[in-house]
Amino acid sequence: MKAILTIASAAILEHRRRKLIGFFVLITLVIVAGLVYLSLDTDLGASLMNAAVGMATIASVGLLPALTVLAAIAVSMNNVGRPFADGEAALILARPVARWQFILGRLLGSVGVIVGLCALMALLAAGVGLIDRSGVDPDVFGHWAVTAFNLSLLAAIVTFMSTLLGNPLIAAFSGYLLYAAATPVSALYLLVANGNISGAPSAVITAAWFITPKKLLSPLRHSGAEGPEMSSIVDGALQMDNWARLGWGLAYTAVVVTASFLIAERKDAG
Amino acid sequence: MSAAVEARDLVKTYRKSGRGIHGLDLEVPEGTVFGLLGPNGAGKTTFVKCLLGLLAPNTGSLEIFGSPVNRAGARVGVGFVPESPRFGDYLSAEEVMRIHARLIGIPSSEINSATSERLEAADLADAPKRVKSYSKGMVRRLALAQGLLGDPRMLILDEPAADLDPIGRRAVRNQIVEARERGATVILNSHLLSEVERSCDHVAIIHKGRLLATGTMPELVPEGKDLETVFVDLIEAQS
Repeated sequence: MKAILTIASAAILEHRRRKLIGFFVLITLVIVAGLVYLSLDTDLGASLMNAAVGMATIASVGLLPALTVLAAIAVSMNNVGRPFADGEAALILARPVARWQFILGRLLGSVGVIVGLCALMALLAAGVGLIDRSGVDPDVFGHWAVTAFNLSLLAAIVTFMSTLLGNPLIAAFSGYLLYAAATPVSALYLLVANGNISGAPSAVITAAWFITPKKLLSPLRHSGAEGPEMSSIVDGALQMDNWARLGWGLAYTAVVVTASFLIAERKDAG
Repeated sequence: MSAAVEARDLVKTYRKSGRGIHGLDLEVPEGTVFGLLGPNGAGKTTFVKCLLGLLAPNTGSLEIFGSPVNRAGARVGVGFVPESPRFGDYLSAEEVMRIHARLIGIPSSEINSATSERLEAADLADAPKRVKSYSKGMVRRLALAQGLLGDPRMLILDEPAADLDPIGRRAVRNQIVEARERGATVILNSHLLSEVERSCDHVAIIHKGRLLATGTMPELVPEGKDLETVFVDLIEAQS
C-alpha cells in the first residue's frame, strides 16, 4: 500500500507542475470570471443570464465539464505507456514494487488530480451562485461528484489503454471510445436484463448515435429530430434502473481493468 | 561462497529479432564485483532486465539471494543504475531520492539524512529544481545516487561510465570500491574493458545469449595478456 501511495503522490506532484493543468485552471477561471462579469455588470448580460437559470447551473453543466473531460484524458494518456517506453518505470520497478502497484499508483495519481479539479469546479459553481445571489444550487456538489466518478472511470480506461498501446494519442482516442461505448452497451444491457421492450428503441438509437459520424447527423440536428423527443426516449431508458446501470458500469470497468492488469503483468518493460 | 545470483538454463527470446538469451547458466558469487562482458546484442542487458523483473524469461530459473526474480520481494536490497536513466521531468533530485527512499522502506525519520548524504556525495545538493533541466552527467550522477540509497546488498550497474567525464568515471569506481568494502555484490555490465579490468574480481563473457567463459580475473586472464585480448580471442573463435 505504501508503494502505491508513494507512486500516486509522485504522479500528483508531477501533474500539478505541468503547464497543462495550470492552463486548464486558468481557462476555467477566465470562463467563470467572464460569466460573472456578464451577469453582474452589463444590462445585456443580466438579460441573457436569467437569474432563474442561475450561474451555478451554467458553470456546472456547460463548457467546464467538457474541459474536465479533456483534462482527465490529458492526465491519464501518458500515465503508464510513456514511463514504460522511456525507462522511467524501469527504475521504479527495479525496486520491490510489483507492476500492478506501479500502474495502480499512477492511476490513483490521475484520479487524485481529477477529483481535485472537480472539487475546484464545484466550489467555483457554488461561489458563482453566491455572487449572483441566485443561491448555491443544492445539486451542484452531487453533480460534480458524479462527474468525478465518471471521469475517474475514463481515466482508468485511458490509463490501461496507455499500458497496452505505447502511443498516448491512440491510447486517448481508443480509451475515450471504450468509455463512450459504456453508454450504448449499458442501454443494451438494460434491454437484455429487463426484457423491457421500451428499452429497445432507446438502445438502438443510442448505439446508432454513437457509431454514426456526426456529419451525417447534422441534417437531423437542424430539423430538430435530435431534440427533446430523442432525449426523452434515451433518458427514459437510461434512468429505468440506475442500480443496474451502476452495476453494469462497475462490471465493465472491472473487466477492462482486470484484462489490462493481466496483460500488463506479461508485458516487457524498460 | 554462496551465490547472490543463480541462473539455470535461462531463455528469453525476442520474437522479432530472435536475439536474447538462449540457455544461460550463470552464478554470481556473493560479495564480488562481477563484470558482465559481451559484444553488442550478446544478451547482457536482457539478462540484467530479467534479473530486475523487467522482462519475463520464457523458461529457466533466475534467483537473487535464493528468491525467484518474478517476486517483487526479491528486489529488496537491490540498487539499479540503468544505462539511460529517466526520472520524472517535473521532479527535483531531492524528490526523486525521497520517492526511492520510501519505496525501499527507509524509515521516515531517516529519509532526510539518507537522501541529503547521497545528494551531497553526487554533487547534486544544490541542483536546479527540475530534473528536465539537468545535463546528462547530472542525470547519471542522480541515477547512481538513487541506486546507492539504503546501502544495497546488491548493486547492478548497466554501462555506468557511459557519457561520464574522467572525474565522473572515477566517482563511479570509488562507489564500486565502497560497495565492495561493505560486502555488497556488484554486477557491472560494461563495454569498457579497461573499467571492468580495473574494478572487477570476477568476469563472465556472454556471446549470442550463451555463456562463453566465467571465472576470477586471474583464472580468465593469464599473465602477460590483458582482458581485451582474451575477450577478442574468445569472440573471434566463435565467429
